[in-house]
Amino acid sequence: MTSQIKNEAAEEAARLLATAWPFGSIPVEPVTIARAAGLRVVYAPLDADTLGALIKSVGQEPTIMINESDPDNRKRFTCAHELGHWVRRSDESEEYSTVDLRGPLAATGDDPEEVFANEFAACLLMPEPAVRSLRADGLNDIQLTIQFQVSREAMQFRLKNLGLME
Amino acid sequence: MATTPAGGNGVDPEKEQQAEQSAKRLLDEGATTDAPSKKPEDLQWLTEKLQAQDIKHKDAYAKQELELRQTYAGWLLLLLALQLVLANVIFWVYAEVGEHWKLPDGVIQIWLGATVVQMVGIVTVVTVHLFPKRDGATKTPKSPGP
Repeated sequence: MTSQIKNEAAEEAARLLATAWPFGSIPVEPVTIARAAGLRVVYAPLDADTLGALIKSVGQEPTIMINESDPDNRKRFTCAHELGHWVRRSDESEEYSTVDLRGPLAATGDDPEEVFANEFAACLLMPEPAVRSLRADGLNDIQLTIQFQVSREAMQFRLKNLGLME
Repeated sequence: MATTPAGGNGVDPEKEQQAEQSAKRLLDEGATTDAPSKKPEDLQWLTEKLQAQDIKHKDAYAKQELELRQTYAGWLLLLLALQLVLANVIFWVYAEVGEHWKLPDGVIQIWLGATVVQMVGIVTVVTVHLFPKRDGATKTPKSPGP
């Protein structure tokens, strides 16, 4: 079940990258992609425990809110994660909202929505071909972290999932 | 209003509700700033770097392939030389010692013919299969159509 969700997330991320990030360059800019998809992306002084939110109100474009206090790499992942929530939504509700809080299981929980959003964010920010290419070129996880502008933890997760972890 | 249910990630639903209200309030009050973004064109240099790496990998592969072909070609030519020497020695012994060069016409024709065929065969193998056309096409027989 989880692997099926992850596969769907990877496919959706690859599809969105092909459409909204045509040059295939890294680091991928999730804010640019989100805007290309018609979302508004803002920084906000959210509560300390809040990573980000996806909010859609009647008559307004969906908005991704990112905690302005977070480090840049965290902001990028949050944006990609919220974008994953938006992609996942199949209904056409005029109003919806998703809030992501920091939690002990934020990265490893089994809630399908979160599994999808996390995998989507990982695949969007760290596209498999680029990761494999740079890994084959001898870059270690720290160098890859710098190239892809993600957290080291996120990069290590990605490498592990791709079977590229030493 | 559709709200993504909490659960599974160790987060308190009440806390989540409060965070959601807080986020909405900030949005309504306009207490937000547009997130900065870069265009993909700004990051073109990295694309070029990846392309350069790709070319490097292809170059390394081509080098390996060339070395392999050189090895094959070397061994094939050596075997050909040995084969020719051996065949000629045997033929000479047969002609000189066995028949005193009173050979039937058929034997001479077959010997000459076999030598030529052997040379042509080796040259064909080397030129067609060791050095195929750049587009990858080789002279392979086409399968009969339907």
